[in-house]
Amino acid sequence: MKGILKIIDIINDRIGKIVSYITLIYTFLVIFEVIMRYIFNSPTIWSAELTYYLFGIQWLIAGAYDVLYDKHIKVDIIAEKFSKRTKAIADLFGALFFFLFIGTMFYHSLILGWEDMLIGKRSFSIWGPPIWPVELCIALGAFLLLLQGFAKVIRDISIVREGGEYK
Amino acid sequence: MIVIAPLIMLAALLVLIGLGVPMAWAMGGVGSLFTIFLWGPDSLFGIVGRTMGWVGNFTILAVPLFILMSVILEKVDLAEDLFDAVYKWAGGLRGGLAVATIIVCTNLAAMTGIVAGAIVAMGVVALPAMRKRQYDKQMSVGSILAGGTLGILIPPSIIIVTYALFSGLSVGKLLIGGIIPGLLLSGMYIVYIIVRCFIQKDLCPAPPKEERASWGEKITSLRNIILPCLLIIAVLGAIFSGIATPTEAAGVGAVGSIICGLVLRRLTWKKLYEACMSTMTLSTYIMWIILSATFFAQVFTATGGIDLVSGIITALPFGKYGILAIMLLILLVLGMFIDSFGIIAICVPIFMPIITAFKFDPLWFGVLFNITMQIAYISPPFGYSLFALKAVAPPDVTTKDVLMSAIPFIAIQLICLLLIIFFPQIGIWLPNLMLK
Repeated sequence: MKGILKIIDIINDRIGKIVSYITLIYTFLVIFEVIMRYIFNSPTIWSAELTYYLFGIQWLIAGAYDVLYDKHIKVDIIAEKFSKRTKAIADLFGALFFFLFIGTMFYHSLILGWEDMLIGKRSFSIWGPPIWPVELCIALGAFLLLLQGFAKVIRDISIVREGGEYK
Repeated sequence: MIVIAPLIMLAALLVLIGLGVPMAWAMGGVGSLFTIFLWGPDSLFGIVGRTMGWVGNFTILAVPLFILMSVILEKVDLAEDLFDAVYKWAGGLRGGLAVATIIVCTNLAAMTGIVAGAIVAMGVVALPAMRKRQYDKQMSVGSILAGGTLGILIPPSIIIVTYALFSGLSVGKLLIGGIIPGLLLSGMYIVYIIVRCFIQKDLCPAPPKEERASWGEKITSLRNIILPCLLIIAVLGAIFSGIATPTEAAGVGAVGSIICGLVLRRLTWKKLYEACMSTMTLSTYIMWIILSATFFAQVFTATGGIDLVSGIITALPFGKYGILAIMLLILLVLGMFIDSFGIIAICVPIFMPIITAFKFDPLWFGVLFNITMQIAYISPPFGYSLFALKAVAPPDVTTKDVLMSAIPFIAIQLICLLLIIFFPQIGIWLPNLMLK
């Protein structure tokens, strides 16, 4: 089990590092469009849409990276007074809501993305790129979150049962 | 069931947040649970549409772009150059370092949209300098707390961008609306410091004559800060004139900050990568909170929760300004505990109908909102800035020092809030000059 948890950590760490470079791509796309529009007076029909899809894909996929490094904002005024074991129990309770929310997201985005892929659905803009890759990215992001959430649950259970911790 | 559903929803949310569950999962989970209870599991597919809505939003891109700009300018150590320059220009002024801190923070606030950066930078640069000159401990700490928190109000502020998205107001107008109140607040801090140092002569001693900078040194100290200052003017000018959208202006700011870093020869690949990484982790948690909060708010609205809460507030027999005070008080209390993005996502949909019902100017309320958030950030005992500063302060600065030092500055913020309540023009004059 320890091996599996380690692999999940590594997967999300690497994927997070890779998608962090998307920041540079969308930044330069915004500037590219500014230059095209204001200097060459020939705005593109695709850059704005591509830019926000890229940012969307980044934060969807990096959600799991933020879970791995505990970056999601929480209020720990009360929780910080808990013992390690109580904290783990509280987190396990919270995990029920996490899995309900993210599980729902995974299931429905996978179905929608799959169906839209089969009919080749496109976005309604003039550029009109296929929309299903973005929908499938929601599913991918949710899947990675579920993996990382699973790893956290196993670690919390081991804290509750043995007082020890899987690293 | 339907009548008490919104109350159970709020209670469940509070319990989960209290237990330390990340806000995004608490709001998303409670939203999902109540969707199942009220409309059955099939209705849950709406969540994908919500997500696609946020993915397909061009304006929200201003958030990561402003963050990238902030992080890069922070990585190239501009705070030190700014502090050095402002201090040299302050010359023999008593309390000069504390005044310099406020001026530097005002400038940093105009370059960055995040609070923690300015507090940490000043805590590392300005605090030791003030301790060395035997400045009063509370005055030194207080000036950093107050100044560092200006980033919420002075554009570019990612909190203002988010507020604008949720209230449906113009992002550009709200950003510009922060300028005059921000400068007013910063000016009030400076006046307070100068007056107190004038009255209590040994509070913040002036530097001895031989240590004051010559004119040559003063001029050279400006060298490194000219470019970033031009960048601020370009970004704000583009937004104000309406030439560029806030997102485009943010993009110019981000690339401009990369260019500044290269010109100063301080930006390495490693720093650029780290900047991308922190931009990603920050904007990711913000987006997940925004997404789950809109989902929560949607379900909450559908259960009649918004009508219920805004109905209760509207029916209170306190008159127009009493209700305004209650709304600001709610924001202040929430702001001491909960992340500002979560507050915006939950409170703005509840408050908007009240604001319309009482014919308050929503733009003006936006400015009040941002000042209230600033007060919450430095309010004892849980204010965010207090923790950020305590973490980097030298060990002889106790928690009690940090808490006590905030109090006079909170009083100044309250005065500023009252000024804008009774003279709304301070907040809305400049944005109303804009074309669109």
